[in-house]
Amino acid sequence: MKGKRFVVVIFAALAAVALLGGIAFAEYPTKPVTLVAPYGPGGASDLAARSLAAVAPSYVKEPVVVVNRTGAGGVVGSAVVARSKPNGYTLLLSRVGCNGVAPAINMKTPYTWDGFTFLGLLELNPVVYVVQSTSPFKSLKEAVEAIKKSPGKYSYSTSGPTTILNMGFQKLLADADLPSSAVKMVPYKGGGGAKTALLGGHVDFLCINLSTVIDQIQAGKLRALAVTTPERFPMIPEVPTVKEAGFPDLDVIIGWSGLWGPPKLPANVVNVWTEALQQVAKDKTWLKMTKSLGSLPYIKSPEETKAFVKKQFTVYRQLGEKLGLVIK
Amino acid sequence: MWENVLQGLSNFANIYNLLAIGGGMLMGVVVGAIPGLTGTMAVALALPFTFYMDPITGIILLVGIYKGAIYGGSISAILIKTPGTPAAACTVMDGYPLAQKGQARKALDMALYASCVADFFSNISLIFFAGFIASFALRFGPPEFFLLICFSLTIIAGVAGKSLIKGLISAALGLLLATVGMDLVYGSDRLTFDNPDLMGGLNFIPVLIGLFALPELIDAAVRGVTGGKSDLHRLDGGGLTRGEFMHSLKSILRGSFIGVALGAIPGIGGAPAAFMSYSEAKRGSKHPENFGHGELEGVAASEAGNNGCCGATMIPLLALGVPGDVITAVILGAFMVHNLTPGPMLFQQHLPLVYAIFVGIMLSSLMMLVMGKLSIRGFAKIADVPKQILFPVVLVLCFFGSYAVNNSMFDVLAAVFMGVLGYFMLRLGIPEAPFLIAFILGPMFEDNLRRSLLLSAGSPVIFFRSGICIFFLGLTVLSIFLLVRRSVKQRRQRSTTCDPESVTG
Repeated sequence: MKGKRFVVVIFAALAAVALLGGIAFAEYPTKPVTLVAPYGPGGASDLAARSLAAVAPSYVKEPVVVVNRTGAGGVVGSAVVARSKPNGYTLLLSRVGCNGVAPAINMKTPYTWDGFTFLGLLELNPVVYVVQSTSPFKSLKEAVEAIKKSPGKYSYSTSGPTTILNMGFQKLLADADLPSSAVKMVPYKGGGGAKTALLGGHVDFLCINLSTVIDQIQAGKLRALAVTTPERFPMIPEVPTVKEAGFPDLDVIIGWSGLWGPPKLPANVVNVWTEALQQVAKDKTWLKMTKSLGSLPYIKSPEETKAFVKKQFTVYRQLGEKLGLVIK
Repeated sequence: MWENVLQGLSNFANIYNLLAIGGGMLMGVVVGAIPGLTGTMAVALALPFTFYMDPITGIILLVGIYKGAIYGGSISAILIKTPGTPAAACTVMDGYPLAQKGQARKALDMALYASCVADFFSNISLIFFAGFIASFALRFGPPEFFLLICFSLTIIAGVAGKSLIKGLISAALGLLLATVGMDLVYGSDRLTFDNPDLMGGLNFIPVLIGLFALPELIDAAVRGVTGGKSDLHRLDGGGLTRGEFMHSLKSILRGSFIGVALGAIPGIGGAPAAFMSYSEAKRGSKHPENFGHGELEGVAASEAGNNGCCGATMIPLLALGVPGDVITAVILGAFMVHNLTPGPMLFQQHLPLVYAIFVGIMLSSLMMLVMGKLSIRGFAKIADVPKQILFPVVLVLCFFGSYAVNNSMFDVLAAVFMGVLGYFMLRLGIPEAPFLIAFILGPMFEDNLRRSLLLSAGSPVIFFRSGICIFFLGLTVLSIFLLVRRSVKQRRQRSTTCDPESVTG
């Protein structure tokens, strides 16, 4: 009898602890949140992380600390978050390269595209196809025709094989029914190097984030043949969209940033961030910063985000398989 | 033109900008002097604050931190044999021996003056020749780059120490470890053992800390630390004299020029510039045998080389919008956040702003002198700390620094591994410098070779395609020829002088 009562007391105590724990958990966040930026300082992803961290504290009531975990094209930082405790204190500033392209192309990537909790999409980064302003090519069609006539003559620079810079150009070749070897690929260690190669006239083409080259386009040093946004982009109104340029399927080639958490994040954490992101979407400072970086603010709910990423993953997987780029 | 300059001056002239340049410089020097706390980190941490500042103030603050950190790296390189920043790795070679001889103060002074002079030249070339230098730098495509690196690699022989074989072993180890990571062209893994931490390659800072600082500490632990105060670092040697400075002036100017030239080409950075300046100073010196054993001119050349880069790395950034290294990439971010895009349009649309930044940059050379003097006084006290306290503190700093670069325990393990390797190298008399140069230049060598051959579809003719190629090809051949001739000469001298000695000895 006594033993039974003892057991009951123990259970009650455990229940109370669990309940208290539950309540304590409901109060999220109670300490600073770490936001892992998987690329180095100063790049598009780092700035996206820092813009978010600058305004988010007003809506989640705790500081957000950006930590750069770089390496292997963003894979190292993403892997760290994928393995971290699902308590909402370690989040990832996800990117198209490491969270869309890498899991689709490289089977050795230590996480899958959906091995995270999606909290929301943040922004889109339009991509442009550019040539030097002295280049004879005035349109994407002309460029493709020239490549068709003399395969192996021209070259393009990228920031590595499994990046959007390479996939973007390969998708153009694939959509024009050209083999992937029709143009020589010259890889650099970052978008900056790839851009310098084009500016110096060492390669002929480049497919890259608009923000990296917008100044040269406006100054007339580079000519944009097409932009991958659905409509013409206000900062470069004379540049046709890929649809207008005759390659409508290239609109999937677009950069993005999102906010991911480790898998199995509790519902209350997801709610805190979903609501905060809805506020961020209206935040004037954030909107101004994001737009001045040449990005399109594009905050989406977790469900919409998942659908969007799934589509991206499928595109890159299919493209990778078609081109034999998949690393087993 | 003049109204823009005046407009720039008046835009600059307020107390916040002065505070920004002074404060940034001091912060940079302190951060640079602490091993593992790099300028990159300090600039990245300061970046969010600049979101709320006037663009001029914000950018000048970051530039101050950048320059301060590159200079500050020399302080710990000289005092505790740990380069605070990668660019200061070359300063260790003569700075630390000088400190051991009790001439730390001289070395610190020389590092400061050389840095300031080089920085000044670098700023001048940024302001007056930015457009010209940037368009020249653009002509460096993969084959030009490759041949420049080939020439730079011949300096390994210059820093190999007594035995060329040991130097080559060291360089080979450096090359081997530099290949770790993802393949550039195919994206496949190399020597990663399926470990995601290795996929990005070995991080530079832990390797540096492991190679230079840890072997010294392990050695002290093995032999046992004796004595109360570290008699090695006493500062009674006095400061630098005018004569000593003038003696090194040629090397400082040569180093500044090398720094400007290499700094303007995106992607090279301060460390190779320092090594190249050092090896040229050694080649030009009447006493090349003193280099590596505490030669003031060596410190001067190395520091002039790396600080000569600082202003020049801003050239591709401002003129082309291409960041030459990680720090300028962060500064690019600061421009972008203020809705300014560096590049040709910046000079057309925001000329007064550009001039205001130039005024700040010019002032930074002066500020470096002031803040450098201040901090030398502070840091020199390190020399009074007993070894029993100093060494454990340095050890903690080493581990902290390795961790802080990327917030990763893996990097600490990498530093320990490198420390053990470095200790065996120390015991076997294998020099560290060739390892480091190979580790830095190896990937550049490989990447540009492969890019060139991709462009030419495998044909080596591409390496003769331009005047720059031929120039560096010629320099490489000349450099190797001079090396061979010198070593043959030395061997002949030794054989003629050694024989009688061996009889009498």
